[in-house]
Amino acid sequence: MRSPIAIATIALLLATSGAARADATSSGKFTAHSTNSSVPIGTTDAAIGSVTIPLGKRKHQLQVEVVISANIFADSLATHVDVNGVALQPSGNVGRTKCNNSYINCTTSGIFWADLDELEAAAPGTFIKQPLVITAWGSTLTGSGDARVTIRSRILRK
Amino acid sequence: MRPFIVHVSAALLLLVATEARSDSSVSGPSTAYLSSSSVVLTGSTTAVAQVTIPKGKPKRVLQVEVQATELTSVIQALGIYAVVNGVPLEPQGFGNIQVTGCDSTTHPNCTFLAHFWADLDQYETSHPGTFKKQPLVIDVMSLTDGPTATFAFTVRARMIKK
Repeated sequence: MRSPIAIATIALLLATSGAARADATSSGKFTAHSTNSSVPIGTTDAAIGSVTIPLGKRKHQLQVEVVISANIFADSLATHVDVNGVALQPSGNVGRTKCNNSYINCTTSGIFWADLDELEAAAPGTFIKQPLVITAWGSTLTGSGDARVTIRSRILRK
Repeated sequence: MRPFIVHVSAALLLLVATEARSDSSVSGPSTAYLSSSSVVLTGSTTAVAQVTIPKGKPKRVLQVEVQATELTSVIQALGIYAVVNGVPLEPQGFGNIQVTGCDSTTHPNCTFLAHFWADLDQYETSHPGTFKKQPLVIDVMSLTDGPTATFAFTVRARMIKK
């Protein structure tokens, strides 16, 4: 049996969860960030957000963090990332978490990386001096609805 | 019946978790890190940590990570949000808070890592005089589903070129 204060706290979380706002983006030579609300997410693995760093550079690594907060009753959230169509490490649905169905706004996050020199060696002409289009993918185990998706990416010297 | 190794593992986790340690922090022109190990939450929103980067600069983005680990074993949900100079960091919306569910009945030491960011140029445009050439005071707030619980918090903040 939950205490009244617990119920009140969760009610507060639920009440504040509906505060919609405009999306936010930021980009520069080395970074690209975005937060998008009301992104559809469901049981089919699908692209849920994308940012672009203008130019891939030699001797640099790409680092990406993805956060998904799902405004739904989902049993599980998962995410993975690719750059110019090639999976970042770790690959697969690794940013996975189990959600407690008692609480909406289940959040999962994942950290991803790639060595741009290695990617370029495997697919010449695809990454160095090319735009880096970073795409986050997401899915639920059950349930569907809207999610808030945050992507943080940057390239930095190795 | 839970396997013995699970009991041993859980006991080890609890033993490690209850080892008190003093807070530590480090800061420089572009970074500020802090760890604190005895933060008590009671259900209401509580300021749990504060770090400061001495001076906000143009053409920079602020990245903040907050990691919380419950040292007790009582909560069912944990929420974290962060502000810089009083303005919520991204991601905003959903009450600006990131929430995770925990199952303290089966797993102790619920851990949650939240990521935040802010474009300082955009924040300065919307709040002139607040960020550029000003100290960046990053406050972290947290709340739980109710029961009194103790946490360790780590905050990493860095300002990087866009």
